[in-house]
Amino acid sequence: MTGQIERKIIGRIEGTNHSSSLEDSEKLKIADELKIPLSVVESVSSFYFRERGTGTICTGLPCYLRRSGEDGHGNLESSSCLGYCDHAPVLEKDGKYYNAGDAGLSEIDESKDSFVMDRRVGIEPYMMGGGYTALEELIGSDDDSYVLRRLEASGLKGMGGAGYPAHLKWKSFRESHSGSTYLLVNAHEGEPGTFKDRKILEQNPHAVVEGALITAFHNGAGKIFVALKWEYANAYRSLMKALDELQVKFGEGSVAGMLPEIDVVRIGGTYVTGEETALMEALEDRRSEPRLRPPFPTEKGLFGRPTLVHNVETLSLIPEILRNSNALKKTYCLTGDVNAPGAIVADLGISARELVEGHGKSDLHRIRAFMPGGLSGGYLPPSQIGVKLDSESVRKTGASMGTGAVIVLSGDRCMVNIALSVSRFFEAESCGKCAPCRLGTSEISELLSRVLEGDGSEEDLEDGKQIARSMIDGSICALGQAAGKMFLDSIRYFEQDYREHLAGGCPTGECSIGGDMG
Amino acid sequence: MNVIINGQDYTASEGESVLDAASMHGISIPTLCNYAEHENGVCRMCMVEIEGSPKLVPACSTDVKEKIRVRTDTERVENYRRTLIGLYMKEHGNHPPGQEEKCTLHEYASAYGVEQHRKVELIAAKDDSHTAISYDPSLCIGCRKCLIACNLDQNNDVISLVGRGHAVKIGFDNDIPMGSSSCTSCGACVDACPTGAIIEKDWEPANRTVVTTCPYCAVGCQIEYGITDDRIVWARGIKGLGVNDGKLCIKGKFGYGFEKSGDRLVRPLIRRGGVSRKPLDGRKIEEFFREATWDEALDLLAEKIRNTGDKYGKDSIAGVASDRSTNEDIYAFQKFMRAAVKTDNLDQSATLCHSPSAAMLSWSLGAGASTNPIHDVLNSRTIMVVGSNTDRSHPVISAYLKKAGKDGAFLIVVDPRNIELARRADLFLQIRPGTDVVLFSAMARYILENDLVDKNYVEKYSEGFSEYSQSVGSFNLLDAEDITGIPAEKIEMAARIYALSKPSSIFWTLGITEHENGSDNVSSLVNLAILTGNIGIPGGGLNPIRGQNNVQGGADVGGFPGSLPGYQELLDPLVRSKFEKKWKTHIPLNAGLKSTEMIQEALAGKIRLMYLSGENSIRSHPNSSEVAEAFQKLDFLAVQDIFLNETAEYADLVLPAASSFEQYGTFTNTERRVQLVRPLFTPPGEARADWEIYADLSGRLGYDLGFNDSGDIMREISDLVPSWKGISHERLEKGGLQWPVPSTESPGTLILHRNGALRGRSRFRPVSWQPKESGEYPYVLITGRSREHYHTATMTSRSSVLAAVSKAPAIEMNRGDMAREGLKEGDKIKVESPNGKLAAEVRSNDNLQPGVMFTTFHYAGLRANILTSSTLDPITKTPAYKDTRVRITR
Ligand code: SF4
Ligand code: SF4
Ligand code: SF4
Ligand code: FES
Repeated sequence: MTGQIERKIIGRIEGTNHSSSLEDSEKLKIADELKIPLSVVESVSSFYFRERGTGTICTGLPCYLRRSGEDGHGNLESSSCLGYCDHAPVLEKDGKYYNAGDAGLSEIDESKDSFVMDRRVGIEPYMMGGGYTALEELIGSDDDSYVLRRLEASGLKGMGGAGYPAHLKWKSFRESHSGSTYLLVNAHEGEPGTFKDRKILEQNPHAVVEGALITAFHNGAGKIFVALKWEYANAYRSLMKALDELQVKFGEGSVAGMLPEIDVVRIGGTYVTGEETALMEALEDRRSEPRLRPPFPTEKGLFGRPTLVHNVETLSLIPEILRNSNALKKTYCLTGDVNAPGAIVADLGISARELVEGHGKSDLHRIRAFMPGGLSGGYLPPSQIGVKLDSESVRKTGASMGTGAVIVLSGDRCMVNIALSVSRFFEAESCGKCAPCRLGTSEISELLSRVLEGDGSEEDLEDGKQIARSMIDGSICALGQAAGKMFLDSIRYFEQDYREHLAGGCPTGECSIGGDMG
Repeated sequence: MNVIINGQDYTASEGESVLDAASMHGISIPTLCNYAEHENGVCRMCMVEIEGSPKLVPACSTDVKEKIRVRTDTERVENYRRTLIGLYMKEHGNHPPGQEEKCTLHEYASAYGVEQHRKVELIAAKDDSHTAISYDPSLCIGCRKCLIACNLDQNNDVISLVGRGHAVKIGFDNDIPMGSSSCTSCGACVDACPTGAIIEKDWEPANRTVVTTCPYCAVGCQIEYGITDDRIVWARGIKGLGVNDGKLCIKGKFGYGFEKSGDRLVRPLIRRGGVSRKPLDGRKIEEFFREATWDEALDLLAEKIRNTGDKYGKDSIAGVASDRSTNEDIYAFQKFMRAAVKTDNLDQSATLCHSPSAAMLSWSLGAGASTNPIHDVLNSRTIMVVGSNTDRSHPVISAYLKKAGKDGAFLIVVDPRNIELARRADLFLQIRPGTDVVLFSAMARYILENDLVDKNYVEKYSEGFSEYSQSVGSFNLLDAEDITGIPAEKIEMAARIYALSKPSSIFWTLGITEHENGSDNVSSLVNLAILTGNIGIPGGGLNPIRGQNNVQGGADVGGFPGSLPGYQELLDPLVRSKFEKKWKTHIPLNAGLKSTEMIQEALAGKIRLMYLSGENSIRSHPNSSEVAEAFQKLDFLAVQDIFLNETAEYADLVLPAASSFEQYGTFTNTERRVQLVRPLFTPPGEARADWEIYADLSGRLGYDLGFNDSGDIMREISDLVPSWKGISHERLEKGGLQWPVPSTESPGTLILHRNGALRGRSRFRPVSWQPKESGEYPYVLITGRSREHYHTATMTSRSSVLAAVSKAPAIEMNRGDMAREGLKEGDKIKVESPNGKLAAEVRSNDNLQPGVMFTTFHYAGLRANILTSSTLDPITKTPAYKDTRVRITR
């Protein structure tokens, strides 16, 4: 049931060591063997290149918030999210993940492969709970119109950030395409503060597999590609095991013949690789840069074929929906200044208050702000804490829920400093393809650090707003647009912090102006 | 459809971008990255408002729709642009003095009142490693146009994107200096760059511009020259114009400067009394020649012609014209020779190169020319390139071949050398020199045996099939493998794909023709195409890629013996009377000599006077010492050229000619396209256009050529040549025309031989093959050309850029051969053939197969043609430049 696409160049890079640079002689060899121009090897390999240290330190906001001072862990590469945000601050060494708190390094239990493999839901228990019956029902039914009805009734929307109703997406996809089409499972999670897809894949891989098979089958997609973030080694193991188990279970039966192939591809790259068209570029062995739209992936996607893209979580919910159309459960990720961070499975539409207070066990009075959708969804002030966490309700506040990663910021946070950290994230993760984002993210970081150091001016803020607007207006993909929005939001809600910095002080005293805020 | 831009109604066409539609109507939307026919969309300068869309949209990558309402001038748009320009300008460095004018960003910045306020000191180092081009990363705005130009348009694939995010930059190959990269110096990146980050080192703003046809090869690229103070300051291609569609090669891009070289001939020269004909060898010109007036010079030549004719008969006189002259010049030349001198001993350079192609195509199909236009290769499913180092000799055609390959056409390359194009090939057949007939006949036999013949075509449109099919009977795959050195499976595969994956086209150059059996080589290709019905269809065809800019035209207008303009036979009475009537005189009764035969006859004392125009025979003809001897034997040698070339050093009379930069006329490119040549300058000193010289001289012989300007000549051609009937300078002003152009309404003919052949049926021509004895000369020496030079380099070596990029000439050999001979890189060796001996350095080149050596023929320092033999193709008298047997001595 699995087949492999060949990523000849990237495969070679990752085959050796995905984060090391290639020697010139190696590049020449690849060019020669593949009969491709050296310039292509250079363009592709240098895109995926990362400085190689003895390990990786996570600089994502949830980790940043919890890290005190410099750590003496040697020559470390930095990553903007390692996917264990609820164990912040996180550090990786030799493929092992640690909480690098003040008490020293302690390996994160759930990052150990034995931990994952022991606890994952295998095929037997999964089927005992009704697993794969939805798929069998679909395959066996002459009239599959119930599928869209149940999807619609469930209110399922894409959980990858866009929040588009799944039944509508399916309806138009199936109506407009015949011939070979693909389903792309986006498992390239990268939004700081988000780790739910990793957990789902590790713990309940069959739900994803069944969801993907149902989706592909119903929509006539001949092949399923699972594009999995390279770093998610345990998720990979768990998923591959699930496919093996499936093979054993259905290998001989008639069902197997009707199912599309599933190809799991591990993909390095950066945050922007999680953008669906950038992901397709990576799968097609190119630089992982977002494409222009139109054409949309549903018209011309992977390898030029119409492609339906779904996020891991969305797919994992589908079997359950088809079985009993229960109220949707959503996995929220809660991080930042909360007492009990973690992945929280709750009814879709739980309020932020309930999440932070009830599940996060945090005192709401100490909150300065919260981010309902990771680093890209905007900031909200404490007055909005009652907002229901579904994409519609959040949108009404002017923010967006994105993947449902809630990051809490406490009262003693300097918001200029936070804004700078956020801006640095976008600057580091911009692919550099389009000018507003490539130039704007860097410009905004610079002016924010000026403000932070007390060298900023009124003009800087005005400039910054113009630039942010142009990023929203002109960037190709959501990254550049989000970067602009985050800056505007920050000034909008926390103008006071900026004013005080311009006047030469920091309201929280968190940053001693003139000090080094790296 | 209708679109509404800024409240006004306009028309636009389906599939057009908003940007293009607006600019069609003169509404300019700023853009830095737009590149015709390639989506880019990264500069984000072109954002506009469209009603119904809350976001701004990029005009370049948004298609027009019926009744779309676009606003390009709202405050939001203007603010957006100003901000973005500001962002760009913050990171934009300083231009070298005077070059800011080339920067579109600066233009926008001043239009939007954005001042540069640099945020950081720019530290990125400038890359000055290339001879003619510099790259300054601090001026680069990341628009990626150079990348499209190099990788997708020229398909040179040199430019890379290095890194990502804010630090992303342009690089060459694996991010090495441009000067050491695989850059071909085509300059496409330079022409594409909107800011001048990649720029000609000596770029200057131009006062005026002229568009003309490239003075070099037969691709016939259209070039725009920028001129300041009466000199060329830059050259560039223009998107959408001509066959090259903006692309150039190093010669077109940088090959100027020769026209203003200090050693241009500016006055006629007459050999001083008592000085014998020999090379200058470093002595001053004045020691050999004295200056003369035109009157004195032409009177002298007229007198010599008259006297020689009277004494030895008209056929003791012979003339050769250069195919770098215009159609009008060559037409005037042949008319002068035939009507005034009254001999048919006239020829052009084609005898040295593509005569076999022209002759055999004409024999089989009825027209001695390429059958399909260059662009048409994009319609081919299979392409076979034979004996052509296209990447070097015809880089612009190579761009199309490579593009077709990338788009999925199956590319078969047949060459003795592992050339650049072979790397791109789906199938590479490294053939032993001189065995082409065997390969193609074996393919034909395989096609016949396996029933892959296009029976419909063969039955309906061909003749000579049964004789032909018998003739290939002796070429089986295994013998072919033995003889050609190509594994039988590969031959089989080539045959299958060529026959089955149609349309299939064939391209070849001199690797096919410059052999003792050049004609049979060509015919074996023509036969294959007939057999498989790959004639007269888009994507099919037989395309010899011509070398010199006007080699096609030279033959078209009658510049070779036996053939009056338009390939009308001299011996055909009807034709003769048509010409005699028009020319109001008698013309010679018998066909004359080819240029290679003229030399032989001069040696034999039968030719007494030669008039060479733009033909550097000493260097270009085989067996140089024999040629020199022939010239020394003549009673009188007149040479007309733009420089005092090696041949002119032997002359009794030297006439200064205008270059193609200094006259009005036409060239015909390799795909039969007649294109205008426009003057950039007036000729230097007293130099004159060739045709003016012939006209003047003719008058002195008592015959009026009847031309007052080059338009007169073109009118006479279209009068006498049916396939040129619809061609006039006026029509050509609007763009080139591919002959036949039978009427003034005809748009010309893209593809020849539709439904059969021009001659009626296409005709198979049986071929045979004999092995060549190598005896004591175990190596085969191939001569060829490099990318930066052209012909005997009289022009290219006078262009500072081309001279600077070229490597010193050497004899190239496979490393295994070198080891066997005990040679090291750079050793001096002597190479000896039955005809001569020369000393040169040896350079290793593993793209050569064992037993094969290579050298170029461009350089005065290494006169390869001392070695080449004067053995000729029996039919067209073309020399075997590609197959000289040599040995190494010390
Ligand atoms: S917005 Fe940023 S990340 Fe997205 S395409 Fe543009 S440069 Fe790349
Ligand atoms: S000059 Fe031509 S080959 Fe060289 S980098 Fe520029 S486009 Fe590429
Ligand atoms: S060098 Fe010129 S063409 Fe190339 S990306 Fe930079 S600005 Fe654009
Ligand atoms: S011209 Fe449209 S993005 Fe550059």
